[in-house]
Amino acid sequence: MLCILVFIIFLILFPIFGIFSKDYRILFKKAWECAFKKVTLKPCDVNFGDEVKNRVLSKIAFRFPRVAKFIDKTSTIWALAFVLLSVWSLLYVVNAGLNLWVYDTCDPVTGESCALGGEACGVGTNSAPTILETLSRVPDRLRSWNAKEFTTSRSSYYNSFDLNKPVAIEVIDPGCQFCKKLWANIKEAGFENTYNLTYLAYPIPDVNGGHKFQHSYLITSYLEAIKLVPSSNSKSDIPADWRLLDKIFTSEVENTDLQNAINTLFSEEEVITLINEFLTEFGYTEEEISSVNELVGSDQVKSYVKENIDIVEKDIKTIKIPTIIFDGRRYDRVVDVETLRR
Amino acid sequence: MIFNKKGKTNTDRVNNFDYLDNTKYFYFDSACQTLRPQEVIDAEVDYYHNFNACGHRVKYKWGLTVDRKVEETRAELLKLVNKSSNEYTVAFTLNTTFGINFVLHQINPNNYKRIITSEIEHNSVFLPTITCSKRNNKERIVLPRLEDGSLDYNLKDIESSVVILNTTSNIDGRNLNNVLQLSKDIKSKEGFLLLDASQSFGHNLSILRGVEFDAAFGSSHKMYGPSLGFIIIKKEFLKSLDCYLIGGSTVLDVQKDEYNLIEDSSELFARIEPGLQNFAGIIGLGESIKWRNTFKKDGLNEALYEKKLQDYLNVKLKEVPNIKMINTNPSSVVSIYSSKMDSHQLGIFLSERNIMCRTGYHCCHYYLKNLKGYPPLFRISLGLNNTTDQIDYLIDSLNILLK
Repeated sequence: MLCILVFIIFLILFPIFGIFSKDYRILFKKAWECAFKKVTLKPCDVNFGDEVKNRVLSKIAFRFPRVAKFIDKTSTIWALAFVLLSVWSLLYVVNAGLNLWVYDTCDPVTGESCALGGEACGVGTNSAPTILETLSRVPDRLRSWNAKEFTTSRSSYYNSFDLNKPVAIEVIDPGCQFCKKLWANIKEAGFENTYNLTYLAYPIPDVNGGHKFQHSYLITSYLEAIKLVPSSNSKSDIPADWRLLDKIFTSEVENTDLQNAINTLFSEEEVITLINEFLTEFGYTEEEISSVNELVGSDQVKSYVKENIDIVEKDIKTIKIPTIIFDGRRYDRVVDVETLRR
Repeated sequence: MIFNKKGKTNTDRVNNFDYLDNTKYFYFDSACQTLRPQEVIDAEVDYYHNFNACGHRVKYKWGLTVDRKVEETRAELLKLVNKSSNEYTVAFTLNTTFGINFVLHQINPNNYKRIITSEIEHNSVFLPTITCSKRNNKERIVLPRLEDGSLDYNLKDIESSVVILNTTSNIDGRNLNNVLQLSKDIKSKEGFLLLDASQSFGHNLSILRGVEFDAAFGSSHKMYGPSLGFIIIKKEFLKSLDCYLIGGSTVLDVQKDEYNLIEDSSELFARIEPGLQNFAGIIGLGESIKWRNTFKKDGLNEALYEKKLQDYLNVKLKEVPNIKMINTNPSSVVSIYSSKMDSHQLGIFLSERNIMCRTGYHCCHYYLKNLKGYPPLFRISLGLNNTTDQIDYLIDSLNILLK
């Protein structure tokens, strides 16, 4: 056991010290031979593990003889614990690495908590996917993604649809700060003019049956309802649902960005009032606004939102948003301006 | 003589072991190899700087200087054991192990019936006796040694036998106390007596004096000299060897399919000195013998100073708790083990304090491990570099670890 422990330790130390010290290179080689023999059930030079142990203990043998004796007597237990911990750590790291590659986050349960993953809001799951589930997602990571496959008959494009431009689709939650950030990058890159850009509004659920951002479902419903009631005297070519998203992502209220205010300060009534004010600004008449308000709670809009949710959860299967699909690739993160410009 | 970087001499710098800080480094492994006094190091450097040439059969000045100094070393070695150059000669080898193998395997198998050795031999003796008996299909007998180190034998055993034994054990310093009687008995029974005297040359020369041996093997590096072996060998015995390991320097003349070995009595050693020799080492060995002859410390000569250290260590060691001494008599070589700590661990821990002692079975696996069943041992071996203060430090350290 000591042999294996020594090998594991040297595996960590070797890249640091091995390059500079011939002694470490020799010890690494010995440790490897010993560990290899041990795991292949061949007789191993037991003296090597003991020698390394004794060299370590010799540092405290005279200053703390009792401690040295205690560690010496319990060394096998310590070694076993370290080996098990090391093996566990190794498996954990491998699993995290696989998650990072497949999901773009090392922690699928709370995607945003992984510093190595890209910036995004975690959709979250009640339990971590098993290794088999993760492996079953590997083909998704390798496949070519076509944005058109995830559009619907209601898909709204930022600009008028141009047959000469490819389609790009983003999955967003109106309350997610990273969706806002992606929107800023899209605008800076002029991405919305290079592609036929559409979106799927997806209110991220929380574990209690509600939503991660308290008004996201309401706003999503408004986005779907607005698509059904076009403004009769709009002076903009940009659809009203896109203009509403743009307002939420770019406006400020009382020195606070509007998105954050909606998430943390506004009541439902205040959100509805705000949206109605925006619709008025977009040229909607009172009757049209009333129609929109009526549609928001309707079964029709509910079914549209449900369809969005199904596409995201069953087809795209994202666990982090924003997710954006274009040029055959899929990104579950805030994509930088340079990538969007390419 | 001391040399600076340019090879020029600086006198009055250091001598003995003054180059080493005795309060920082505690070397107790002289049974393996002793430290070299500055005088020996200087002698080797002197050779390399001032007359770095081949000896033997050269006519130029440097070579003649080498020959003269090498002959001086041979003479010094013979003087150590009170042997005459008429009867004995000295040949140099790599080390004791090599010398034993070299001679043992070249004894004409027709000249002896069996090989006798003892149970406390170093592998340098024990293993060649095994291979030699197997190669030559000779009986091999391993005799016991008594507590005082004497060989327990009967005359019938040694009849027409090659008897090879150590005169001082590298385990616990036991001496072959009946070597004098043994040599007479062997001669009377037409046997051969070969002595592994590598420890005796370093610590107990007196045991070799007056002994009628055929060959005695020693190591310069156990007697304050450079890494080198030597054989003090009876000329008649040397002539009887079936020399097949030969080459440069060993022959007088060579024909197409034949050769003539050196016959000249004064150059017989060359028969068992094939190839170029370690001239710097040989010259250093000569210097180490001279150095020992003039050694003085605390007003004591070499033997008395070493005896003082032996006695001091013996008394102090007996006060250390939880240890077992293999031999309780004062000796320059002392092996112990402890019920409290494995010897290897003890050696590694002490190394942290720059205390250097050997651990394990000291190349005596048969006796220590398989016959006696001892655990690995911890060996303290003294040299002229040691002091009683160093022994105190060692004992204090042992007390901390073994109490």
